[in-house]
Amino acid sequence: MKKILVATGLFGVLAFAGSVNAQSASATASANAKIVAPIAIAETSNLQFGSIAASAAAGTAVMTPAGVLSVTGGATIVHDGTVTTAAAFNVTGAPNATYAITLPAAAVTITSGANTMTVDTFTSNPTPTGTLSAGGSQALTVGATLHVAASQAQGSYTGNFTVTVAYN
Amino acid sequence: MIRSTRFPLFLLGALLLAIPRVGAAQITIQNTAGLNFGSLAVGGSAGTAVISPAGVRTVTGGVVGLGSAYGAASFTVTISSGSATYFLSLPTGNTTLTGPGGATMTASTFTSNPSGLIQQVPSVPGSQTVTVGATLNVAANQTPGSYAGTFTVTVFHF
Repeated sequence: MKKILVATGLFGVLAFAGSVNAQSASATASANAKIVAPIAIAETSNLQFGSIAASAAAGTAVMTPAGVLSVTGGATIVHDGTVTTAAAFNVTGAPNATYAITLPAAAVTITSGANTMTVDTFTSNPTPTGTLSAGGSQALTVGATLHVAASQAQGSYTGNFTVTVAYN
Repeated sequence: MIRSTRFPLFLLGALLLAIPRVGAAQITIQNTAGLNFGSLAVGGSAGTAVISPAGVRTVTGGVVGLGSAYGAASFTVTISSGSATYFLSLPTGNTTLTGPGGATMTASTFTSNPSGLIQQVPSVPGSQTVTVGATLNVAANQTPGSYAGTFTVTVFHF
C-alpha cells in the first residue's frame, strides 16, 4: 500500500508540473503613411475686360474662361488694343489629386475713384473640380460678368477677387 | 521497499503525460497586413489621421485624406492546445514613423477588434483574426514624403 501511495504521489506532482506552462508570442507589423504637398494656387493673369463704352442703356460685358469677350445691352467693346483676358491661375500639389474650386459667391466691386461697377457670375475651367496632372499641376482660368450701368462714368476700374482650391 | 517493476511504470506514465506540455508552441501570432494611413495632405495646421480596426480613416484638424489606399493592420492568432483564452497586448505609448531627412510622425492610441486584454479563439485548435488601428499625429507643414515604422503585438497563453 505504501509503495503505491508513494508512486501515485510522484505521478501527481509530475502531472501538475507539466500543466503549468505560460507562453507568449509576438508579431511585428509595418506602419506606413505618405504626406503629400499641400495644394497651392498662384495667379498668372488678371481678369481684364479691356475697354468698354457705356451708353444711355445699361449693359454687361462677359468674359468666358476661354478668354472670349462679349457684350449685351448698352455696352460696347472698344477695340483700341487694350488686352482682354480671362483670369488664369496655376494650381499645384500632389500628382493626380482632385480638388474643389471655390469662386466668389457674391458680387465683387471694382472702383475708379468714387465710381463703382460690380462683377459677378464667376465661371471657371475646369469646373467645379479639377485634377492635377501627373506632374502635380493644372491651369485654371476664370471668367465673369461685368455690369455696366447706364452712363457709367469713364475711368479705369480695378478690384480684387479670390479663388480658393482644396483637395477633395 | 518498492517493487522494481511497478514504480518505473508509474514514473514513465507520469513523464509521458507531462513532457508534451512542456515547451510546445500553444499560441502563435502572425502579421498578415500592415497598418497604412494612406496619402495625407496637411496645410498650416496640425491634425490627425485615425485608422479604425475596421479600416475606416477619419481625419482631424488640418489633415486631408487623399485616395483610398489605406487600411488596418491584421494578425492571425492561433491556439493549438490548452485553453481557448489568451491575453492580447497592443503597443502603448508612441510608435515613430520616419520619413525624408529624418522627419518623424508618431502613431499612438492603438485599438483592436476584438478589443480588450482577455480574448478567446472560437475553438481549440483554432484561429482568430485581430485587426489593429491607431492614430497618426501630423504636424502643421509636415515634410512631404513616405514615412514608415513598425509596431509589435504580443499574445500570452496559459
